[in-house]
Amino acid sequence: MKELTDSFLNAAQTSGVQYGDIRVIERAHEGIGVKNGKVEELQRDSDSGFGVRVLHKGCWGFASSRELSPNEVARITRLAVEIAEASATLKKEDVRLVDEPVHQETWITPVQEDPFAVSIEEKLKLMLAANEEMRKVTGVTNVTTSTDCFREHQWFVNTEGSDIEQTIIEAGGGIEAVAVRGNEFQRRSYPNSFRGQYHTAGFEVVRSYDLIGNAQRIASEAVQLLDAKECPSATTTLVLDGPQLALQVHESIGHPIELDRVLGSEAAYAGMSFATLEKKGNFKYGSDIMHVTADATLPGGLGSFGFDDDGVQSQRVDIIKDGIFLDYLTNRESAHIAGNSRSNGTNRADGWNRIPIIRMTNINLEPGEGSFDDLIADTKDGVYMSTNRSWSIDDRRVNFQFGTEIAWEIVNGKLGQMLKNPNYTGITPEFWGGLDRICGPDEWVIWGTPNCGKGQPSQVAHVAHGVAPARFRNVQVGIRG
Amino acid sequence: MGNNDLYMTTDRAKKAADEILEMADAAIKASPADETEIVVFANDSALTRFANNQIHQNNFERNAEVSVRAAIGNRVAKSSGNAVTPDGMKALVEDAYRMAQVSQEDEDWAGLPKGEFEYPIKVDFFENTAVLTPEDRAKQLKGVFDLAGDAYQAAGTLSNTVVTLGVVNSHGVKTVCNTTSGKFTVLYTGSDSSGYYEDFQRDFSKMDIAALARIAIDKAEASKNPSSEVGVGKYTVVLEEEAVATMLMFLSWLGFSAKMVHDQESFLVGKMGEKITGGDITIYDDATDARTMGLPFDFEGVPKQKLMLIQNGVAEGYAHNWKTAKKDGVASTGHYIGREEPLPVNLVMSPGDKTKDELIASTDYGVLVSRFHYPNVVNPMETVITGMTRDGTFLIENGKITKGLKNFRFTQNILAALANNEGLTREQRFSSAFFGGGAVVPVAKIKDFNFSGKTDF
Repeated sequence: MKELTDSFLNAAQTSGVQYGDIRVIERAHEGIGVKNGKVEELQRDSDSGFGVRVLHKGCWGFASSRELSPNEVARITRLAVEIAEASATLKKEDVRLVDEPVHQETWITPVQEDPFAVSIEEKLKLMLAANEEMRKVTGVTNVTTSTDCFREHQWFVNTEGSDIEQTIIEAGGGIEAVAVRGNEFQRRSYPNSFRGQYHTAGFEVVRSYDLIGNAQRIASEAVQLLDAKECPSATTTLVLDGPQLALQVHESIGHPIELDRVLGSEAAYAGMSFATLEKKGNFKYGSDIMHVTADATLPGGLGSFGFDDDGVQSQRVDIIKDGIFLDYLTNRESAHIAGNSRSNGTNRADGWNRIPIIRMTNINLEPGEGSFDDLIADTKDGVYMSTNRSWSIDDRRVNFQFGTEIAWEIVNGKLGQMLKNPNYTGITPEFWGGLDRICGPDEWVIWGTPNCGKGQPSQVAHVAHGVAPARFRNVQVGIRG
Repeated sequence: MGNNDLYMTTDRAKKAADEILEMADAAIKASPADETEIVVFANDSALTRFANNQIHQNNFERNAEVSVRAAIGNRVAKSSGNAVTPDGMKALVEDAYRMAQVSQEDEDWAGLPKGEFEYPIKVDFFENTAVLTPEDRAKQLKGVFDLAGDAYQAAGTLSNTVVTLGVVNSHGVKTVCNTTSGKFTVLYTGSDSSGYYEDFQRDFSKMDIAALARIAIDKAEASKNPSSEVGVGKYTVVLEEEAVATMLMFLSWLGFSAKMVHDQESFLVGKMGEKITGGDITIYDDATDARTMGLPFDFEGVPKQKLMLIQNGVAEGYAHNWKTAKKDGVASTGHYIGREEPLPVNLVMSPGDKTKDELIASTDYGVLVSRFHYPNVVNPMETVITGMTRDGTFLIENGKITKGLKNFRFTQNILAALANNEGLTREQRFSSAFFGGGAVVPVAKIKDFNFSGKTDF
């Protein structure tokens, strides 16, 4: 490894760059999927390579290659310099980096049971057993069980002297049942939709989900939804469960506070943000009980790590406190624009062949008080929605519409009839302004979002959101096509 | 600058393709599995990204995905990596073989495709596109930034890519192709309006960057001072190409797949042979149409062929790979994309006989939509999606565009929209869809399109 990083440092020094870094990365993934008792997916994926980023003549250049040799590192570093020189021909302003201490450290995700050390046979057995349990339910059309694990081993070296070795391990999985009758399509998932729940952790988290124990309940709910009452169209009180609230945080808080979006970097693709610079420190984002943090130091979230891809140490920062918007997600390049002297450590790349950009870490709605039962008992009428099915939001992150897999009426402080095809729509600050109760720490869970897309060329980030079920007033539900 | 040693020239690409076939052939011959397949998708990709009238991200990537399927009887597994070397391929073959040993029997396994096939589609390789330097891209962008002036901010991408796709299997499939592509996207954003345009070409020299940028800024200029006077409700809309392409890709994801039909998860279930859209709507998949940027074969080496999906409004077909085709007793249509669900990815919608101006002129009161943003599925079997308009939404009054409008949220059944078609343009254009892919489509006029919400911008 030192041969490669030395080759980079020599080439960078020869080129006279202002700053440079190299990330050498090995990645591994193992995925298993069983549908209707058949193994439809059994695969391992791996890749390795390096990416070189140079700041030269005030501009960035980035180049990467899968060929791990000192000569290729030198060639790619020269190409990165050439790219930076081309950028500089149209430069308006020099890129300026805020300071970060030099780090020479090693960091690894704490795991109890290395997910790659658990045999495929054992994983298959669990997936097949959970599958079989769901298939026992009459009326279910398709059942799927899946598990994935990921490992990323990275060496980061920069021209300032930082030298960081980091290994991030993730594991997760889930079950899904589909019931179809004519044009009626209903799906239930557990612990979360879109392949389940994920953590930076070992295989112990998959065992903890009790997929087999929940299989028949989930499949039964999918079938019951076919005959359930349609979610009414109304403006009402809405209670969201953890998985749905996590995605609500993701889309209407996590993305708008990415400073690169605010500054226009994503304008042509993912869009910009309503949370413009003058709003920092004074904008009323939501109700007084709203406390949102960005916390990469939290154990177990998909946004948990030791150092970001700027070589900045992970941090916990307040984003919204007492409902007031306080800070953005920043990197070394942008922090000073938000008036910060240090990056809060959110520059993350999707592998060795992508440039780091600002990404969410663990963006959390801090807990309130009481249990879920207390929350429902305290609600005279409304709708309780669970498990995301669909999401959509505009390019400034203001107008959103979400669908969930299932809902229940709330009548006089109790859960009533099951409702199908639930969805709701809103305007971001108005919606968060209607937040009036959040469940307590016992209900607070970090939900993984392993499919966050952004950037060109496209990058997929693994991020997370710690939330507890919460209640919102005056929400429009039941939007029809 | 502009050192060609850094890039994939025609000769280098040919040499790399030959080496891929040779290495894969050797690895397959040494495989202990009953059947083995190696697919290599190698790319050199450069992308200059700009925002606020300057380049802010500027990338180059050399990568490859080497994917191996190994079968022992009916037990199948996959292993992939990115080392394009004899040792790398050998290791992947061994890994896939070991996993297949512990997998379950799959009674639907059809075996790997049996070659040799004829590949009628030939794709071109343009060296000018392959060796485009960052300096070349920057020179093209200067005019884009100058055009923005003080009133607008330009953002977008200018990219060029070299792709090598090779497929070799133990039943005689052995094929490879090299091709190039260039892509330009630009968004001009002003104080209260924006306009977007894009183009794709295999030959970069055919891309008129200045003319494309002019289209985008004209749209931003025309949509200034947007009005909020139009409330939510159902309106006649004129959907430009990107909105139509996005609807077509959603149809593909929601059901033009044999696997989804088998699993009863496609909107086509029970509707084959029935009229599901207006009679003027014909949609097919056709990699032979060069505008779709299609490749000669799919990811298991089966030749791509034209596949009718909806003909004159009637549901006619869906895509097969080797495995789903065997289950239905038909031939593969060449739509394996590396996973269980085959998918059409070279969609074409037949044109009509109107011009865009005629569609607008025939509209008393309606809305012109340039683009959709972040659509997603509300009801998959009824093909209902929701999303936003962006980058140029206009009011049509008495046959003319009269002003820009603030953006809408729509919640709309796609098949119902296509049943409400009131005219298509005779001109078609390849346009990308929001979540990837794209289609060659006309502009469409549709009545009773449902705007369910709106924004204040």
